[in-house]
Amino acid sequence: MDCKLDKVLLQDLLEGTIDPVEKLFVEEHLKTCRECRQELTELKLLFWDLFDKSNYEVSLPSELDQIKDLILANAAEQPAKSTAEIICDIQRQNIRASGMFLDYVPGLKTGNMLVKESVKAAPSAMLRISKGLVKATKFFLAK
Amino acid sequence: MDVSDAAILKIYKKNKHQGLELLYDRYKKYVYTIAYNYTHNKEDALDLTQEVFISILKSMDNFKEEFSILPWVKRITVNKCLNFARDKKEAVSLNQTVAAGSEIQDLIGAPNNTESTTLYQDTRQSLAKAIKELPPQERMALLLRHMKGMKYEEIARIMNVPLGTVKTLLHRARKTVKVSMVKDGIWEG
Repeated sequence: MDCKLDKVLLQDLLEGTIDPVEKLFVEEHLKTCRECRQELTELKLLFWDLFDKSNYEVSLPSELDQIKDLILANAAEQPAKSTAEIICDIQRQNIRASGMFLDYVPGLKTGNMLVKESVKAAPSAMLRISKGLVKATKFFLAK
Repeated sequence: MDVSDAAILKIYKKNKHQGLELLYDRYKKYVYTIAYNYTHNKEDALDLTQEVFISILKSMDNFKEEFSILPWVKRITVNKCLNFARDKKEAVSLNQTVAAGSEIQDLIGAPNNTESTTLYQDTRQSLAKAIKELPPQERMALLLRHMKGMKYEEIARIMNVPLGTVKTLLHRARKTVKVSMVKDGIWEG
């Protein structure tokens, strides 16, 4: 009952890291040694449990999100915007917000369509007006 | 949201904040799972996770794009765990888990259950208890091999020890865990 076999070999046998010659030797030995067969059975059960992923599953606690905020606050500030950009953003939002009611004004869409159509119908007139505008601006710039 | 490492690095270059956030979301589970199975304590695992990510974020600027992030995350996590100072070893936390898997704070209010909860042990709890008792290096090697399914060579690289040492650590760790689980009578009947 006092087997001298290095039990480490049995672990290597299961892991497949055993030397081929040693493997033959251990397999022969197992045929005759009850103690080692018992050991191997236990090791197989152990490996089964060790490799069972469900034994390591953990639930992620909500604190992980707090850590995220903490780390992010320390590590990197939000990309800083220049003052001009901020003012532009505010203005853009203001204009968008103040124009929102237009979506609900009755008759506005049809009105717009009519304007568009009439512009198309009289391109020469529009052209003249825009030319006039260009001239006027040039005049002001020169002054 | 799942994005590739390369995409994360690209986003990081444009917008650090967003890049780091994506990085955190991608790897938090990985880091926390190792930390928790290593410490078996929620507070310590959270502390470790925080430490790991702080050190990742600190060196993020020097990170070369041609490397992939995961091996780097693995290495930092393993190092942080192994260096984890066990200051709180003597202190008893109410969130600490007793052998039977329930937290101490649950047991305080329920003295009647104590006996039955400590007598009953399933495989998972017995395994966790045995792993918890292992010396740090053996514990880490065992987790990397069996929980993460890493090859011996990879473990040697990440733990920065020779291949032979990994084998020895694993042999010893498995032997100890097996003795402990046999004692708990897990595989009987």
